[in-house]
Amino acid sequence: MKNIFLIAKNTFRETIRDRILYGVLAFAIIFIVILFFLSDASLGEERRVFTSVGLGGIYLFGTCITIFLSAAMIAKELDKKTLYFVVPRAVSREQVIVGKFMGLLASVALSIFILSLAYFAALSARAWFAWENILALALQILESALLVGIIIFLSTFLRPMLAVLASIVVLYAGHSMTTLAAMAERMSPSLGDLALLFSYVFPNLEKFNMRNDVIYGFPVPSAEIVFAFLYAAFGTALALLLASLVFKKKEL
Amino acid sequence: MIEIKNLTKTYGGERAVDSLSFSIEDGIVFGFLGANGAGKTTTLKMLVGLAFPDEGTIAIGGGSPSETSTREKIGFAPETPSFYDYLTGYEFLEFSASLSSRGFSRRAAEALLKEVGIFEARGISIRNYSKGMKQRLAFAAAIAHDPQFVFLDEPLDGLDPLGRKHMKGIIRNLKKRGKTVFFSSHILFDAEELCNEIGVIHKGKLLYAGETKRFCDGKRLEEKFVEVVEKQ
Repeated sequence: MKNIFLIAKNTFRETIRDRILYGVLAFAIIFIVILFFLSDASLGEERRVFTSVGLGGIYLFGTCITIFLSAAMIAKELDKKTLYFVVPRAVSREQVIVGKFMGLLASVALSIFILSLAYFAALSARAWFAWENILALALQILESALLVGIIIFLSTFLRPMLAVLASIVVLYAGHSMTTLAAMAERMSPSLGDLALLFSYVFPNLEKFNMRNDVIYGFPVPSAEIVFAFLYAAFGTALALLLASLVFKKKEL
Repeated sequence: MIEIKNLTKTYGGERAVDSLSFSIEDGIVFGFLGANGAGKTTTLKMLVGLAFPDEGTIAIGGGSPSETSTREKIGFAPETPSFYDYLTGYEFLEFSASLSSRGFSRRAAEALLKEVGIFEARGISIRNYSKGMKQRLAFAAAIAHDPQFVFLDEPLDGLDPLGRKHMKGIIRNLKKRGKTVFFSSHILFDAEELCNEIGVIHKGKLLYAGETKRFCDGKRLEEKFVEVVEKQ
């Protein structure tokens, strides 16, 4: 456990200092300005537009950070051989994978947290704050955890650019699968079966999307939240297990 | 003791390391010599657990490098080391030393940074270090947890004459403290000066392993090395 914590701390320190925070802060400022501007421009729908752009912006920026930061960090470790100082030590390769995951997730979560603070401050300024926003952002962090796990797994056997492209495919498919499966089912049963097969291959990332419920004020059943948490925990554990299996055999 | 038996590694159908067998007693400074592409780095990678042999076995202090308990006793500095650029030299050393059961001691880390000559730069980001400073930091990281077996890949490459003298002094100190030092090099002058024993590798095959004096047979190491390799 000590080694995992050390690797995580080291990864977090390295990624945060790699100018990521400046980018996040710059985006946070621009983001608040855009939020106020757009909500003021939408007559009668101010609150809905504000929440929609706010949560959507945090999701977009947070997901970009998740994908590019994770892929860049793992690529750096493998291509620049920084792992040469870690793997020959009394550290198991599983510990390296889990430590990297925890460090990257901490960096991603911090970035989402900073953006969320800016968003909450803006919401509070308009007296529109609602606790459901926190729930939507917490679920986004769960989705990021799963994505970081998947990117680490993909990076253990794909080149960095391919890992980025593959994770974008996973992201897109993960959010479209439910809709696609329903459409395919309506078109023909065999297409529906095929879509069902794909839905088992790709993670269903819509489980973490409660932004629309927050925007339109729908209640979110607590069972769905518990399921999303368990889904993220299981999916991430599976991705890290697969990553460890590949990495254990990988020559550096 | 380091024992290598029938060690073989093939890349793309070509044997990078071909049935290497030799052993090194404790407390020896062993120079692993060969031209570029001879198989030195591949052998070192297998010795420290970065790569896996296709055939053969490695025992370091009685254990395989695939076991974490064996790697606890190992220190390794790669050739042209790459670091976490946004950490300071001190932070990197702290990280490196902490990855062992021995743990990290501030006093020991500072003493080590002084020993390798980068104490003044300890608070600077590694991305601002020169090549020589990085080489010194890699060396410090390799020995920060006081390992019994120290593996160094071209440790004197990229250092100026003063830096080389400095590093050679540290290798001698390690020897005095009973550590086993295994280093690869193509700079034979340094090897001749430092090593009790050498191994000569050429195109993946071991041509010699044993005492340096016996190999030289009254000649300079470089002269003898060229003679032996050209015969192949």
